[in-house]
Amino acid sequence: MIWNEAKECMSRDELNNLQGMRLVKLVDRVYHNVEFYRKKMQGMGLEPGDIKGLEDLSKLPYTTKLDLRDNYPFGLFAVPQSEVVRIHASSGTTGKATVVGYTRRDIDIWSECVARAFAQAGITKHDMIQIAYGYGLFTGGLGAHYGAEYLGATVVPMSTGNTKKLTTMMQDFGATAIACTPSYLLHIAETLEESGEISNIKLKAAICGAEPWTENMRLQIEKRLHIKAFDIYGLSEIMGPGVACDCEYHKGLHVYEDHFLPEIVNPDTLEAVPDGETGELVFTTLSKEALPLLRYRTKDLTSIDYSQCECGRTLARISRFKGRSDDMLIIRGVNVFPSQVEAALLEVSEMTPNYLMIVDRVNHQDTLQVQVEVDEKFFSDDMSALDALTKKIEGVLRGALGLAVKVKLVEPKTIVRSEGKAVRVVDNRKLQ
Amino acid sequence: MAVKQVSVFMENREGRLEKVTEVLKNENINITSLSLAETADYGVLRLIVSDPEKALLALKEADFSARITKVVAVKVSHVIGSFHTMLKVLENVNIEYMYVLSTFDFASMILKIKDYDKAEALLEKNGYELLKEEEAYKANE
Repeated sequence: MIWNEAKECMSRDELNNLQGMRLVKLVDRVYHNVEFYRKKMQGMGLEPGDIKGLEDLSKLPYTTKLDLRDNYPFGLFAVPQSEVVRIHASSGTTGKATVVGYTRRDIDIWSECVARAFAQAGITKHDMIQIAYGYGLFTGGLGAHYGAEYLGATVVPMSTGNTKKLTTMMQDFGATAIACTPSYLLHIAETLEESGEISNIKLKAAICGAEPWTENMRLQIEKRLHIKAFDIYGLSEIMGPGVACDCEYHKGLHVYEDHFLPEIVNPDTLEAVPDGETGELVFTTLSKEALPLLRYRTKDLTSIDYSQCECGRTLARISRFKGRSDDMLIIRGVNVFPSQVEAALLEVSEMTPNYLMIVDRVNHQDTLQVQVEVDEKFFSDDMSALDALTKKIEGVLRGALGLAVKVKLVEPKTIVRSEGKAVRVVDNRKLQ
Repeated sequence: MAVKQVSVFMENREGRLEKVTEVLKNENINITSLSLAETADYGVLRLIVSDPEKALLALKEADFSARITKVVAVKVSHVIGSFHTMLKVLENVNIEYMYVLSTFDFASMILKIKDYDKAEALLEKNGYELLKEEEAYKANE
């Protein structure tokens, strides 16, 4: 089902006109309201009047996560705080979180975009949907929630952390849809299979996102749960979930181009790549009021297809992601930067310089183990002190990452020393 | 008069204990008593050996994380109830852990106590004999 035919099936010409108009207004607004952009543009000898349409997009400066960090927390906001009705935050590369904000209108647009995505998955007001993304500062939970409510579905705000309750309510309430990470859904499938309850559920559709997954995983989910599974994409800097979503043909994710202007650029030269080639995904937020961004570099690597889809939508499709151009990890749907882990560990004074992060997937659940070498400073004959120190490190990491982490104490010299830059992460997951 | 115990950090995997004993054997060091405390992931091996300083150096050379800890070594007579009586003497002292050092002639308890001096004083006052260092290290020679 197409939620917003007027916008999702516009002719490319109409769409480009709309985008061009919005871009011009956007540039004017950020120039006058965001000191960072004004200074940047002035430094480039650029004025709002120089941007007359889409053809001038490449004249505009890029924005990166570092810019958000340098202007932490609200330096890039284009509206006074009294207009901001919501703040969300996600992982930053160091200790500082990446902070984003929304006006009332931003929330409405966000909800409408997510509604489009859920409609793509065949969800209507007659469905009951369990939202099993984390609720809180993370945009996943509340983003999906508001979108499902906007659509009119019956929303059950499960959040994460209690699979037993989720599967019990899924059966007792007769939920027909679920929004969660694909690995969590596989874990749920396994739990239901083991308890023999899989035939009790009434699920028809799942909207999965927040982490990369393969076509094979999608087919597994569909087969084991007898449902249709859809791929939703988003990032908090741009909005949250609902920037793009695939349709029943699963040939790429339709980007809601009336609000998000995509580009694919070479991550090294920053030049546009030829149509259809892989490069870094860049977004300009055409409608956002509180935190509008020009040419934000997502670090996700993908390609774009502008041809019309069989579903009837004219919105361009981005392919399944080919990777990232940085070292960010996604663990249980949470963004984790190795540098962020390092910054947290260094806060613990007894911490040794030799440690290793091991990421794995056990029973479809991502795990993060941090191995710490026990050296002179660390070792104590008192085991309760060793335990307390282990718990302290686990606590510091949980606070910094928003993830439960297991710390394993290992003997000296067991962690491989490298000649050049220390290898701090081993990712044992092989996505199949 | 503190007896020196060697504590060694050990991961909970095969071959590590064997490696420790290999090091000690190669250095001609005798083990007079030991205890192994464990958690799910790691263990701490505690040893009374014939030459604790030499053992510490050798184990560190072999990349083990080890240190010396002061413990109380007190003789307990081979009589039923004698240990109970001794514990009563120490009833206000917090004992962290303990294990036995036994020879044919005598038994002694190795006690790890935070307030080491207080325990020593209490035991001596009540007529208990504390092992001298050399007695503990050479107990079975």
